[in-house]
Amino acid sequence: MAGEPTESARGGRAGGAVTGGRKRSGAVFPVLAAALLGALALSAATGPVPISFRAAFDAIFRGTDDTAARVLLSLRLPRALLGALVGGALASSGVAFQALLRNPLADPYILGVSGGAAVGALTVALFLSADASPLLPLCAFAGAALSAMGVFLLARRRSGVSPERLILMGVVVGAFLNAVIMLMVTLAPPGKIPGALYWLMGDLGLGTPRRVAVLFPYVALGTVLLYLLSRGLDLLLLGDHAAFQAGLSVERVKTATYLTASLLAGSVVAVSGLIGFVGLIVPHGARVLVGSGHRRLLPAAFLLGGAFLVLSDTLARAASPAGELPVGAVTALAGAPFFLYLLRRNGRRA
Amino acid sequence: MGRVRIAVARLVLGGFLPVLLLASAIDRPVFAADRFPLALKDDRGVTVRLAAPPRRVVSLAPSLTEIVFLIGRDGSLVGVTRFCNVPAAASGLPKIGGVIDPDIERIVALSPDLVLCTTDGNPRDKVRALEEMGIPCFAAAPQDLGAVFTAIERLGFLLGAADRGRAEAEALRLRARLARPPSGDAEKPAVLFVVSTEPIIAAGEGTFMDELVRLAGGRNVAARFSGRYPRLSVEGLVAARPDVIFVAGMSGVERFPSDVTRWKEVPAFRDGAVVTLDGDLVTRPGPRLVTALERVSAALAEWRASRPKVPAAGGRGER
Amino acid sequence: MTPALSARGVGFGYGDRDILRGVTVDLSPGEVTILLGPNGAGKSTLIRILSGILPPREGEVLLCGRPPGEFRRREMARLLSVVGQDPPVDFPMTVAAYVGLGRFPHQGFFGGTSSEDREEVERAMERTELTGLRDRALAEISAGERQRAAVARAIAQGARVMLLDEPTAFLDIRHRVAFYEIVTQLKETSGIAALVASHDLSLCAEYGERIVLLSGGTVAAQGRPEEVLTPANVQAAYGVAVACDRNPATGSIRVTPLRGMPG
Repeated sequence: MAGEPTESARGGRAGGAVTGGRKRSGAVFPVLAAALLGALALSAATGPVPISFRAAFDAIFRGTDDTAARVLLSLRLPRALLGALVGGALASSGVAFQALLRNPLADPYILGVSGGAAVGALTVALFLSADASPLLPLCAFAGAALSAMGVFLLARRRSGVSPERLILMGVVVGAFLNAVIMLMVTLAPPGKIPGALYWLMGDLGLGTPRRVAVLFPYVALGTVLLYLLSRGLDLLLLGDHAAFQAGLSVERVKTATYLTASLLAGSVVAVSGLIGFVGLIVPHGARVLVGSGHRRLLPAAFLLGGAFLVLSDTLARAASPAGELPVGAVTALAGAPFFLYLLRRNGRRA
Repeated sequence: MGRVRIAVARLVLGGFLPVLLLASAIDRPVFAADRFPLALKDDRGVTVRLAAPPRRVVSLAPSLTEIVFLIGRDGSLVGVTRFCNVPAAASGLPKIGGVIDPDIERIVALSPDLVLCTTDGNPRDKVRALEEMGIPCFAAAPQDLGAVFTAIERLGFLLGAADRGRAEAEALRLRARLARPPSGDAEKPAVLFVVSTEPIIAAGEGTFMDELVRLAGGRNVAARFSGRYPRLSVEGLVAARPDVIFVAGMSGVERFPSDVTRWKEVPAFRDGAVVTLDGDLVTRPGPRLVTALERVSAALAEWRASRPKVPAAGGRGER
Repeated sequence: MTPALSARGVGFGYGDRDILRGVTVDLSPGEVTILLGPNGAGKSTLIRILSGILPPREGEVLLCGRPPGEFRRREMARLLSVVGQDPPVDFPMTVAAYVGLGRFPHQGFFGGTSSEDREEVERAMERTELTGLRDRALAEISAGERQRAAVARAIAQGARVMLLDEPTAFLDIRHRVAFYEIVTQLKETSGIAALVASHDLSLCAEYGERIVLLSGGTVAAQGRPEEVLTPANVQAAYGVAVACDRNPATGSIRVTPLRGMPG
């Protein structure tokens, strides 16, 4: 038989159809996992309170309770884990939206999630008393869910939901919500604005063990669901008609994808504000590494997104002379050149 | 010979002294008496000329409103911003908008003969628009406590209450002096001044709060960051280990969440040395800044008083 | 023998605008039917109705004797495949991966890739002479090669009925001939029933066993090439005067336009 599927495609994974992937894709997953672990370790080692290896060791294995131990276990590690979860979730959600909308420029916020979450969070931050701040993640999530739902329902027609209409409704709803946000910021009592703005720029500083525990099930559920939909996402790329004719229940898969990806993005925004760039660019970076087949793309994007965000956050904390930089600024500043390099290298290798 | 010398000396001194006085009068306007018509340069370097004491004054900043009331010229106020709330009588005056968004039309409708504005907040182009309509605008933007006192004197002069302005400024200077700790080897506590607890936004170098801390004999731990309002992580706060924390409540009561206050390594949390102040008190460059200084000083003095006594030698200013 | 796919009196339209009226077409296994007609005659709409995407307003469609609504999606995809226009180039996808997607009806969401799947994909790529391009991205190959990949995917899908909607629209003569040769081979070796919507009057006469001429939403003529491709029918459908004769080299009907502005 002519043609020989590359070894990597055959390897133990329950990979999809013959992918004929990149020659080196067998090594990618261990490398990405190692990168994520390395990023977590680096993040845990970075901060103003000095923590020696000894102290870290004692903290983890001997349960000591001194300052260093408590800083490590209840500040640094939760923050690092939060970064991994958030980065991974944003990247997965980005992959899903790009497949759903058949648009490489889609990101998790494109269909109303960011505007709705911002309005929800700002309502709490600006107009309720400071004691109500535990409500903030809940309201942000509710806002995200409501606006995503709104966009979906507005875009729906008897013939189903087309990507073009989704994008159009997303833009309209997004513009409306942006106007609401501007209104809120204008009417807000002046002292409350800095806090709200920092939230809007993305903030992993709210990483407590409790928040990580709350976020984890949402992220786990969302990413697993998306992984199960992998083949469907592959087929969606062909176009609605072609996917239908290839045997896919297109509307059901689209709805499931939309809901899951919005759930992922909304829950992440609720905890850490609007961190941009990750959901847009990490999927492309992951595609360069493992190709377009979603069975490999989704896990790769998760690992890459997690590692990337944790590293960006570490950089934001370490490199800043002005206190903390918003992590969303660092992801774009540091990330853009890196991914540019990655994409150009791929392009040259025709 | 001796007599000539004395004569020359007398001549020189006799002539020199008036020249000195005159010179000093030239580089600092004499506030001793109201002098209309007057010309006074404001903080932008613009010379404002008034033919007579202004009778219809609009204030574009709450701090300036407070100063006008302080020097007893509130009778001439015809318009204030919606944030002008001190003293209580100020809130009853007609509103002309906010600080960053004053309403030009409303201002013009009040036919003011003087507008008091600040370069820290009022939009420059709106002020220019008023000036182009022939309304004189005087900008006062004191950057530290000393400048606040000078601003009070200048506004007194400008509004035809020069004596009152000078008196009030002197009184405040005295209060400020008394509020400062006796110099010497008084202990300098590590102080953190925050304007927000979630996220933690501190007042760094260049803010009034920073100056208050220094004048009250404390050491601002946020001064090492660049930028006036650096943001701190919880870990950053723990690492700084402030002895006293001041919270400038911008909106009601601001408290640190419990997972921050449980860090007992931080002396301020361990000893409960967290003091809440009204945010307006420490951000408005007006007379109440002195009140703020007194409060900050009192808190730090209390801190010093509660320290265990140590023999004088050695000096424990460092940490 | 029962037709593999048939439309009986199918009508369709939007509002009070009719697009199709009373269309009756039968596709038999091992036969290539060419669907001819001018732009706007309703060819693409008919194909969508036949493939189950659009429900007809009147009449019925029967796939192996049953209406499409009775089939589950994957079941139907195992019986009927459609080749449309260009495959997607926005995202990097290799030819092999793309052709592999055709096996979805046999795998489902969670099924692994069996050896049978792999064999079918290889065979499909061999048939369409794409084996050498298997690792190339779809965006990097030519339009003609992409069209072959689309056909390969439909072949890998292993369906008994194939609907092809103007697949040669942007191809040059070489690729058109190659395409029709592949379809002919398929019908001969696998006995599929194929419907090719086309504009190419002469080429389809060469390869088609049955021609359906659609004009203004109705079937103007149906039957063997010599029955359908007459000057009268072509003039009525396309508004162009033509001469029809037998090509002495091949024996098939040849349609040649006569000069002069179409009336």
